[in-house]
Amino acid sequence: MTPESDDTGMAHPDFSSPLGGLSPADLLRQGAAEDTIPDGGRLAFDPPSLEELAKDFPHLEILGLIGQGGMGAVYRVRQRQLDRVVALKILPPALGESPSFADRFAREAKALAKLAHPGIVTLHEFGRSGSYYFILMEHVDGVNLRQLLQQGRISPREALAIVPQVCDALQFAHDHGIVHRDIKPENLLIDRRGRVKVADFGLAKLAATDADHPSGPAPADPLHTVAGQVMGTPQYMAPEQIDNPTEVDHRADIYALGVVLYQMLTGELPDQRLERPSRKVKIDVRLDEIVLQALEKNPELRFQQASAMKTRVEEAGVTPRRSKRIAALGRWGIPVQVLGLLLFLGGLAGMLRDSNDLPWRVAIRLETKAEPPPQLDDRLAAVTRQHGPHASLSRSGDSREWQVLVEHADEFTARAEIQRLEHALSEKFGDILQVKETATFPPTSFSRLFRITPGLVLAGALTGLAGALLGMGLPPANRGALAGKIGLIALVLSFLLPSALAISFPASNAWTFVTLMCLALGFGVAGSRTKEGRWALFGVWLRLFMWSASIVSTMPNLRTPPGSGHYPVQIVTR
Amino acid sequence: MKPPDDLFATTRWTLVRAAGKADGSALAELCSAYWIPVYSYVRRRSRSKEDAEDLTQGFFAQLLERGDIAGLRRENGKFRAFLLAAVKHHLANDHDRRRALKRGGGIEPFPLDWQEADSRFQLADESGLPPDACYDRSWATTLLARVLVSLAAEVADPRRFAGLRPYLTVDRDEISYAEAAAALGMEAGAVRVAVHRLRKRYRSLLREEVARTLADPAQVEEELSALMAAFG
Repeated sequence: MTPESDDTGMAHPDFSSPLGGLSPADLLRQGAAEDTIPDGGRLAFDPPSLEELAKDFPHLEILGLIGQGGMGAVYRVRQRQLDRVVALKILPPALGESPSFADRFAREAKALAKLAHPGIVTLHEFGRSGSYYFILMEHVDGVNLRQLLQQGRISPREALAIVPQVCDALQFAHDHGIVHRDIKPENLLIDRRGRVKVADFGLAKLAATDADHPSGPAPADPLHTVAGQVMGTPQYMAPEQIDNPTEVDHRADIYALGVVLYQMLTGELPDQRLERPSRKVKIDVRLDEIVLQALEKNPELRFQQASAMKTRVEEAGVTPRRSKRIAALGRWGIPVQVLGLLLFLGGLAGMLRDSNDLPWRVAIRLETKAEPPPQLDDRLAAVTRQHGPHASLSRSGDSREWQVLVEHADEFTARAEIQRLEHALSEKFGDILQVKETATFPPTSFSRLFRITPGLVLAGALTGLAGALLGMGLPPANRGALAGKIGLIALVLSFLLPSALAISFPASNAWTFVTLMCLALGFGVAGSRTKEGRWALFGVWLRLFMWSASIVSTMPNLRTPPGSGHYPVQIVTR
Repeated sequence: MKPPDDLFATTRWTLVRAAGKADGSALAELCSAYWIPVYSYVRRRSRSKEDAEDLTQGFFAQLLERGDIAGLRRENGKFRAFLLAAVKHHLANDHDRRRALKRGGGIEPFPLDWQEADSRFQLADESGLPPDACYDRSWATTLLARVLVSLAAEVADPRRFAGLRPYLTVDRDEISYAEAAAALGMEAGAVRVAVHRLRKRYRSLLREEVARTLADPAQVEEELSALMAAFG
């Protein structure tokens, strides 16, 4: 059917005048059609058979067709003289129709020939033979990344081995002022030893230049991979490359490599709404950041150099396991801190609990009036044993002071016994000794649990501290930033309270201190995904740890009977 | 943000919108490209040609003066939808309208060829469509006309373009090249290649043009379907 006889254009004649008689509906339909694109390759380029090709390349033994695409066809050939297997790429003849193509081809090929890098497919020779422009290049015995991807997903570790090599090659080319412009899995060749070589450097540009000259011969279609997008492969093209294909710089390659990395990690191409790779597969969150930065729409926000991307990828590659483990442990941060808090509060409760298990303790302290006679200790001991079944006797090191201590659960019994003792002692030793003081210690404050409670408090604080440190390993998030800040402020305020630094708990503004600590703890937990929240939690636990450590350090003094420090010599024990 | 000397970038609706408050020149350029659909919509809803001219002119004067594109977010980032919503709002708001008539009366934001607009409207009006559909069709036609103009500018020989242009509307497998080959004095094979190139370039330019009216270039296909639906 010829267009002249096409009557669909007559359906809406009313709209047709500005379109020169064409039907807008048909124009749109044909314009939107994507399916006709592949015919471009077929139309313009049918790779010649091995025999046909052999005629044009007598010095080569054509071994086979390796691959073909919009950019031409690649054959495996042997150079007869050198007995070397190389790859022969022939470009579609349509490309050569442009009169300026020969010059540009030569110029581009010369630039490419300077790219001697182990990561870049070496160009041996180029030129025109028969009807074909050709490039003779290094033959890479292996597969391309597309084939690997099709065989199954590449492990993150393999991806991390591939990307730095590509970065190296790109950096090298970029340093020589050459942008690849068409980085995609097909162009990343991997040889049998796992070395990566980048192919088809600059070919995209060669094709693109034709399209820049619309007034000249029509663009070289076979190299247009998609209508409206001059060369490049749309899925791998940076936004600025789609917008303005001729004005791209090396950062377009970094974007394309980002797409390749995304695809290697997730097995999928990035969507319009970019989802973090770690949401799709279990990988190190640091890889997310690398991928997202490479895929920044604004080239200014991407890695500015391929080498920078390489560094980051390698960092992520060196310690992926450890950091993964830390991140996994980080989830235990809050539970561990809760455990710590329970231990701490349990210990504290035990410490402050009133208890009847402890006896009343009443002491009478005597001092010498004159020179003590010999065997005074024995005589005092005899009296003490006789009158005080619940009493103990001790004296100071210089034998000038004695303490008689009665311990009994019943206050009345204890007081009665000490009175009897005092009476007996003053009767027998009134001329030598006099009562210095009497003291009563009620059974308050400390239970028998007291021995372990400071330990519990300390263990709780330590556990909490460990939990806070664990929590630092989790990847940070923005959620709860305000809570974290409030927590941190509360913590700082608690440190500013002067009396809060005192060890003794019933300080004048102890309740202010307790409130601030609770605030710091609560808000710290709420903002535990932020730096501030984590520091607030860490600070709280550090503070509690310091407090409980000081409690434990004073424990020996509190645990011994009253006054024993001053009366170290035990004469009668209960 | 791209340097402002990049013409394509500055006219992109993306950037018009990104500025929050419209960059005057970019908005004006987009408006001057797509004022005819607005006129045909207004014309459908107003009593006379003169009313429609005044209203259209007032609308653009006011839009460009205020540079108010706040409503775009609701319109999915499509300039087409935004402009329609804006003109509807303009027509609905009596107060605004009168004020705009007064204030915009003397100002011509850009030269408008009322003659062409009305002749196109007259042509379009015969199909008896509702104003919204009329607007969309007019939009598509305007857009396609722009694309064809760009395409023609790229082909050196106008006769050759005229000969090849009809192929833009024909399915690939229905194409016969013989007639055109004879008319253009070319071989059928050469016509085949030339048509193929023209079609490719046309698709490219069409997508570019559509993308210019979108906040997100990824919506191109969606917008193309929407435009096709207008002729459904």
